[in-house]
Amino acid sequence: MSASPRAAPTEALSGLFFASGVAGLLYQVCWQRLLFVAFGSDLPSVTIIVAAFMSGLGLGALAGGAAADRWPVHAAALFCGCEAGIGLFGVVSPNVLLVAGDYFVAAPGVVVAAVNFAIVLVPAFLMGATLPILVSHLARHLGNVGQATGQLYAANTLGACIGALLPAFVLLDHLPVSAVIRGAAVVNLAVALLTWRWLRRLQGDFAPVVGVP
Amino acid sequence: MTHLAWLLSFGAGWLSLSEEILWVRFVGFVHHGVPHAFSLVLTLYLLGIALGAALGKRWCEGGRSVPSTAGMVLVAAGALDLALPGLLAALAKAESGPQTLAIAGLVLTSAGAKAAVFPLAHHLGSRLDGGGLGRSLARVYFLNIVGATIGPLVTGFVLLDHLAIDTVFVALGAASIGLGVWALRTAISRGRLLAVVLAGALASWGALASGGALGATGALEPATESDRDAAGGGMLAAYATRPGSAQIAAFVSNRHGVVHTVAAKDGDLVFGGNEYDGRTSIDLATNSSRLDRASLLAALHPAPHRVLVIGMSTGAWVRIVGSIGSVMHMDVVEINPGYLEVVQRYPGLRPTLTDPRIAVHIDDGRRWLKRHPQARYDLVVINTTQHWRANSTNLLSHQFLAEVRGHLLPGGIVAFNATGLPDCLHTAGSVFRCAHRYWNFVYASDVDFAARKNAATLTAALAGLRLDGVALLPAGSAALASAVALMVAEPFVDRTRAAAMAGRTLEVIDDDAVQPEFRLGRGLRF
Repeated sequence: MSASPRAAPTEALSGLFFASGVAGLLYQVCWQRLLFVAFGSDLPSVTIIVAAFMSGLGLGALAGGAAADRWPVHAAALFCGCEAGIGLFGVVSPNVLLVAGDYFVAAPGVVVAAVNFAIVLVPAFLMGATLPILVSHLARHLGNVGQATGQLYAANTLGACIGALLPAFVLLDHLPVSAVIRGAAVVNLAVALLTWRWLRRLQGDFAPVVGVP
Repeated sequence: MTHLAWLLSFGAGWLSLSEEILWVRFVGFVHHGVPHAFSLVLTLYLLGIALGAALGKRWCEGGRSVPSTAGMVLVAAGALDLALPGLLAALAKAESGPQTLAIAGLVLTSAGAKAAVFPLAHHLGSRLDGGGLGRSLARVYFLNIVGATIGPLVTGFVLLDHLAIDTVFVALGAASIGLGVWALRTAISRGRLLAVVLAGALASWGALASGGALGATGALEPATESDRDAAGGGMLAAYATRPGSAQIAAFVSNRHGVVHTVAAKDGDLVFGGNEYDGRTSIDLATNSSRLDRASLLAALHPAPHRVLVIGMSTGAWVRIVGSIGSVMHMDVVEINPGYLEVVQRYPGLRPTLTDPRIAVHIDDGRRWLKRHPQARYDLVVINTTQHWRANSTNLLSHQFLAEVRGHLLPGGIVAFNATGLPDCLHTAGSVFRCAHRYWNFVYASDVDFAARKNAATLTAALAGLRLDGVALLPAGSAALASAVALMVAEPFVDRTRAAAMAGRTLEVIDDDAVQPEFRLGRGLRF
């Protein structure tokens, strides 16, 4: 294994993925609130949101895995792209959700479900893509899939755990929902930027332990 | 082995997220629906998943048999699930601090156990050499998400609509044990598998038996067998609010939530999601749940014809507003159909469902208004829930009141429960020309109605209230005089006075700021 003389890739990636996890749950909690305002807060609304979020994560995971195989040397750059995409959507999302609510709340249930699905699907797709992209990147470095999955999944989930705690117990006491969402967007954009800069700095150091065919 | 990895990943996702639904329901009930309860469960769950994933990662490094490790973990997780109903019922007797800590520990453990399977499944199902690493990873992850999507949908939509929460815990525990045994089948000898199955069966029996015994000691006695089932074999009933330790009269649980009533002398007490919702009494003379706040409307509006009620609960308020002689049509919007079942059980309230003037709609109140832009009313009555409960802001904000204002006929009045939050009056005052508070209810309109709260108008209006042809407060009766005296004595409070009483600057409640639930809310109480 070619140990990096200047940085520990595992720790750095885990740290960035931790921050990404914080942002992910800030979105989930706050988008859910905005969607309740826009479309109602009953069980069908919850179901549509959860199903859309999870479907986006799943489809994103499939696409992310395929992309990681196709462009293995660009895996971390793909991760940057996903994070930037999530951040950009985050910036406009409060307006998108409320405007969609105003336009479609009176539409038939199928249309409302489709609109909800479409809105949540895009960022969830990008979020879902990040795990396989990053795990395949790290697994090639570590030579152990379970270890890489556990490391990154734990970091991301621990971040998500903080992201779930912050809105109710700290942030929403001081900030409006839309400000929390935009704060999460800043986190995603910062993760994208830091990953990009870190990659440029490390170019050549982070050779995979397993050959890429 | 790849197929086993897919099955493990799918199963772990299904079981894990299904159980999260149960924890949200349970912890939400224990903490009366504060929004912090959902966040607490989500946080603990994610922490459990992170710790479980870290543990699974270590097991991947140790060179041990992955199917056998995953199988043993799932069997142990299932055994815990089987014991949970009893353990949770028993914890109802503990002090709230230790109780919350113990529940948090159980959430963490049950989430962590299933999450530990995730890296194991990845290790089993991913190809590090020969290419295709990303795709093989993604397939395992995708199946985990498919399980995590379908599981909560089935649990939330189907299982919780038909089964008590403790039964669902047991079903998920049994499924976890089944999946674990299936994984072990591929990794250990038949003899050892048989030993594990026997040990698992013994542990399951022990968990269920001890759980039942623990649950029974903490259980209350709901009125009927169906109530007992809905109460989760004592698990939820053990945490149900019961002032004076009175008997539970009804317990209805469905996918929308939990409603229970508690026997009381002047009309049973009603609780939605374990929080006080009102009483079943419609007796204006005893006035045990301050129905004068509803009957006051008979005086404030000269002749209301069309009425909208958001939040039916037991229907007591619907009955009182419906007793105003001029009312010709009432739309009643209720989000939880479980209340219909409760209403059916009380003869005095049952006519709410049969009165030809009344149309009951099961829907979110705010959404219903948006979907019926042409609907107009003389009175809009909103008696929903405490301002500190999850999503209550949606029915208190200035945006919502502006929506209501658009549905009022000329001279129309909105009345809503401020549940002790002075900012509600201030918010109503920012939307309507005229806003006053009577006890904890806010009355607002674009016409000034305050002068109508006088003895003569009240006497005439209240004497005219009739249900099924019977006067609720007969003319000349002592009950009528007493009701009028109470209403005259209870002053209308305006925004300035409310701010002085609160001792702080009042705020306009906003959808985005969500003050009623958070900064001005109650929070989680330990």
